[in-house]
Amino acid sequence: MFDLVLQAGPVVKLVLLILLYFSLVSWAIIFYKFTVVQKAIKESERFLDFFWSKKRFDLVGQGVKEFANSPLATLFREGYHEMLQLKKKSVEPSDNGDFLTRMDTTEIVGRALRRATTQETHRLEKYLTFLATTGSTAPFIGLFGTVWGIMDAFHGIGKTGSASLAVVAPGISEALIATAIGLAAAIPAVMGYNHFLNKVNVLIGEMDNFSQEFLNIVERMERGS
Amino acid sequence: MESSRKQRWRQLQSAVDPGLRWMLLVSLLLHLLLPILYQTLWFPTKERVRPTVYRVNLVNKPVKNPQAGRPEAVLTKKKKSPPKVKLKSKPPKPLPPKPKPPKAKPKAKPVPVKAKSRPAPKPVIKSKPVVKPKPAVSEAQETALQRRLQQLRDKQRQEQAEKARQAKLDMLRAAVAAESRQVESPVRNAPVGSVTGKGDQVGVDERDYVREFITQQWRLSRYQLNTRNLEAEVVLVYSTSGKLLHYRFERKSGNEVFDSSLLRAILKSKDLGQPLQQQTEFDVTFNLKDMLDKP
Repeated sequence: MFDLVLQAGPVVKLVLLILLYFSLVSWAIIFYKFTVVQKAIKESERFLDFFWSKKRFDLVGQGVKEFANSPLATLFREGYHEMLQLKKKSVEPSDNGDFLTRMDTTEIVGRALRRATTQETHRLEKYLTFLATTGSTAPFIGLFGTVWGIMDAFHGIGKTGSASLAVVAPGISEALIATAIGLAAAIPAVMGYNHFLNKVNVLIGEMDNFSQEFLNIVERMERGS
Repeated sequence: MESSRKQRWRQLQSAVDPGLRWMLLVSLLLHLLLPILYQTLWFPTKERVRPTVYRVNLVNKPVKNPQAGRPEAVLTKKKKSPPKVKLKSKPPKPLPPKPKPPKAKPKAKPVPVKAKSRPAPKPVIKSKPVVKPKPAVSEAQETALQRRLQQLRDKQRQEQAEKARQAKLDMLRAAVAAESRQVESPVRNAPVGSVTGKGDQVGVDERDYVREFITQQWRLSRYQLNTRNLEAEVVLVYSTSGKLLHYRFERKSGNEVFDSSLLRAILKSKDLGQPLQQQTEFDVTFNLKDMLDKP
């Protein structure tokens, strides 16, 4: 098989190099995303247990550093930070009447949570576009190599004037290896992309739910105080 | 909080995360490991890729740098039209005169038989005692002479049979040649050369020619060997006139039967029957599978 690669023409070799690059980076992203998403899911589960086990935000805020990879913990951190900022302002109101004092606390915290959600979504979806690109373009790049190789093989056939299997087969075999490698790069990329996109969507849903719960608690606190 | 935000922003903006660098390394190792596993563990009994099959027609002359083409292709040359023979009208030669039939002899006239003609009395021949002549040569000499005569006769008969056989062979050869002239080559428009040729000379590759020539001299029953995966490498030095000057086994197959059969074939190929461009050393690999599969 390796002889086939070595015997291939320069264009086919270039195509194979590009496909190798795609495959190399795709697999690296798959491994990396696997660790990131797994950590995010596991730590989010642990964080939710931790969050609901505590009665006060300040206690949760003290232990949130243990969940560095959880997007829900990041959301809580952002929301809690915003709440603390508002509390400071309400304790020391400015004479001229700051615009913060006039705004609803829930809305401001909600905005902070939405920003954090967007940021976490971007973090989780990072590099997935490369998997999508590999999945959609690698077979075509491979096909290009094959077409070029077959063109080359037919040129050789025309030159030698022989169309026997011994003459035709090596050229076509060399050419087809490009398609094979293109598919080998694309299939795991597409599978990885679909898998991680599903996991990221689940996490986004979890983040939305958590934001709503957090805002409800903030609202209740506001009304209670 | 601010530092945490900045760190997250930087991570989002960076092209390659620190974790991804490690994964790139892991991926690279995986890609390197995969071919090694393919070659060793997963397919341990996989036979090596066979070399390209070369077809060499021993009619085309071997050259150093053959062009791309087919070895068995026919070298097409512009046929010179045969010179037209001016037919002069000659007067027809007079036919030789027919031999005159011999004159019929006049029939003998019947002689009337005379009636009552008595037959003449038969003369009585008295048998005289036969006197055996004394032989001029002895009995042994006579026998030897007879034997010699017989031998000569046998020899003459053999020569006649041989002549008849040769005549028959010549006739068959002429018939085959006439038939082959009638058959059109399927590759008459293809250039003569080697399949992998990159030179500019018309002819087949010298190395392939020598390999093919020796393979044609090679005789071995496939039942004499229980394996097909044998290969031997031989260095052959041929002179400009196509005579074998020297040979040596660079790598033997390890199978005595195969090696000796190859040696016999090499010794039979002392003369290539074609001159070479120069004295050349050929490093030729003989693969048993290839040789057996050859039609």
